[in-house]
Amino acid sequence: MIIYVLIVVVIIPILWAVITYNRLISLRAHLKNAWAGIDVQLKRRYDLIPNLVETAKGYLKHEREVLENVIKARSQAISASGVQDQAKAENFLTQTLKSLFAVVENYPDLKANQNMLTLHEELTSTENRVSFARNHYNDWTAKLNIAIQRFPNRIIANLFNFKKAEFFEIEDVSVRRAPEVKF
Amino acid sequence: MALTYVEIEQEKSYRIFLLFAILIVFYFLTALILGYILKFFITFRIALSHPGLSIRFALTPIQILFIFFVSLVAAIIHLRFSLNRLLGKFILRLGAKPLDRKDRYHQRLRNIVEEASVAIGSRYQIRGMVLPTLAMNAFALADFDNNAIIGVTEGLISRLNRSQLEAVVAHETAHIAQGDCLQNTITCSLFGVYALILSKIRNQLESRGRRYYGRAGAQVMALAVVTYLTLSILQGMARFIKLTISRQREYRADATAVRINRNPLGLAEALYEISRNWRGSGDIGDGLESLFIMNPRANELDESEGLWADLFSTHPPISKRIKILLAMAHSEIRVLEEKRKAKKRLKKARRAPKKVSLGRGSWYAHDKEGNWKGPYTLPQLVALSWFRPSSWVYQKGKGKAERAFRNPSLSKMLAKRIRGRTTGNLRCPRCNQCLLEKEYEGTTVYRCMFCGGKFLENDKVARILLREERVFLERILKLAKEMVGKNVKRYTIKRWKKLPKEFPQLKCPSCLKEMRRTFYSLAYPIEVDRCYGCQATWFDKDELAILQCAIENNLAGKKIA
Repeated sequence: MIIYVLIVVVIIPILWAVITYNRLISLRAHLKNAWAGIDVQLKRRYDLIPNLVETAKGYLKHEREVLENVIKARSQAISASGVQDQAKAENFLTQTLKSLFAVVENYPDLKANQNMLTLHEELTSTENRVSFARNHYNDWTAKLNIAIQRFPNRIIANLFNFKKAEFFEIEDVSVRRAPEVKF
Repeated sequence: MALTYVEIEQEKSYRIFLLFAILIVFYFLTALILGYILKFFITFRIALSHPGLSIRFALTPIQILFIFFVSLVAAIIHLRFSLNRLLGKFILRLGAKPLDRKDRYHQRLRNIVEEASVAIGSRYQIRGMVLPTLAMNAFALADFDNNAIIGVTEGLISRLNRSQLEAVVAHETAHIAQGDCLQNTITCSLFGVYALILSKIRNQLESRGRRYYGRAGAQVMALAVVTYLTLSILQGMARFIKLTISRQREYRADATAVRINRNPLGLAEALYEISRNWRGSGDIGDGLESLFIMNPRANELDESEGLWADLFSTHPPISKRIKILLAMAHSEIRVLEEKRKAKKRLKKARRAPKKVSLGRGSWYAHDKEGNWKGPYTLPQLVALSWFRPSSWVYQKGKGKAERAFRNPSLSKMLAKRIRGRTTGNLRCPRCNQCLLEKEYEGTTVYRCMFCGGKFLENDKVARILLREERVFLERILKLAKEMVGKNVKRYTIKRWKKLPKEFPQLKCPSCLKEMRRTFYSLAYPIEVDRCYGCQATWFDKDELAILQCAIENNLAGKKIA
């Protein structure tokens, strides 16, 4: 009889604690992996931008501002650290790139340039990859955060100092705001 | 329902286990029936030769155990052979080719596939491949080691825009992530591959059957019949297995695809385009239909609803799929139809204006008008704008006239005029000069700088014919109309086959065999030179443009001239 009580009182909670701890650990590892996935794609984007600027430079002599903005945004993004800062810098970079391509639309020669076509395709692809990688990262973040905040798990999380992860969010207000309607 | 790609994966393994169980049960039942028949005959013979013996037809438990063991071994052997080099076999069977690195459209597909693999967390090694056919379809394959292949036909790569192609790839990726791709691949590998052998044997039986007489013939026939029966049973079973491939998985993959790139309209447009074009029936083998995004063979069962169709069909009705997607995008089918019409109208309006052409020793040369010009020195001669390697030249006091490329020193000097990347060993069959690598409709072709002829490998012809980047001159359209009209009138198949091949034949640039001058096809009777050794095609100047123009404007069968 005493043995059964012992099992119920001691062994089962210990077992539960071990399982929960292991689960949290593996979630955290997955999260780290997902973050690394974002990093790879961001790096790919940084590598493409100098080529892009080089190709566009010859044509866009009167639009130096746009190009300088892109270069500035890139160096900001490279030096950013932490999820929030990185997200902010990336959003700025995305915006400057968008305005660059809007300018390119006005230069048919540049638009039809073979190099430019390839670069445009590569950049589009990279943008997509960044956003997919971000989605994936956010999926895991949500999973980890839920696991940490749930009631019995919370004890283990507090005990072993598991912290909530930050979402990689789009901070840009214009993306969130609904488009204005004018008549 | 599973919410993230992380969770989706976990439910797939039990379905594969079920498949194996079905296979073993099937083998056991077949073996059991065979065992009973065998036992019946043996017992019957014994009973005949020893009348009075007590007869038992039923199998003893030990015999049943033995049969079970044999069927288990058979099933395991079957599994091993089916799962060995799973993807390679399908690639071979479908004729899928790796993507061309130099091709812009292929590069786009490669990017899209990589994006998709990022979207599901890079857990699969997804490779993009291409089916060199004009049809519009796409498929996905997966194996146990998390290798996956997404294959897209040339038709789809060229005719869909980026967002539509993204949607199609996302759909296939969804299949891979949900695991029904793995299940499907295994099912097809276990039961689908035999359809090909089956149809071959059937043909043999029908055509040759009557020719074999005598003992040897009978034996061959008997063997063929036995094989045929066995395979028929397997194929019948494949149909039964289709019960496990639910229609629902297509809806689910559509939904997951929308979750991946949030673009229901793109997928709806892609499905609409695919459904409006040839999906590859006849080109894509039997038994593999369930791998594709849309059944290559349009059939009634797929388009109908109800229990029977739900059970036996692998694909849901296209109209319903499109309707669901359009509802997500708050759009209607009418919009798609109008878009398609507008695109056609745009194509008609897009014709370029006329081009204005620009345009001068002891050597004489024969010019375009047929006059001998000269005398020139060698450098002067080579610098003449109308001078081509194929021009006739004549040196005073040297007797006969000859083509310029036959003269070694002239040929060398002409080679210096070539600007751009040459291919080295590929030479123009008309001018004997190196061909240049040139980008044409997003892919690389080999073009002669002098005569404007183009040399294309087999799979590139289809690619180029599908793509519609180039705008054709009015002159080309007129030529195309005239040629198709005249030649269709003049040549029927019989008459064409009887024609003598009197003209000098060109040598294939890559394998140096003689090429044959033929029509591209009887529907599009544009003359081209085809090499039957390496399946490549040589187009003289404008021939490719004329062919493209004829196909784009659908001139086949119209008698215009």
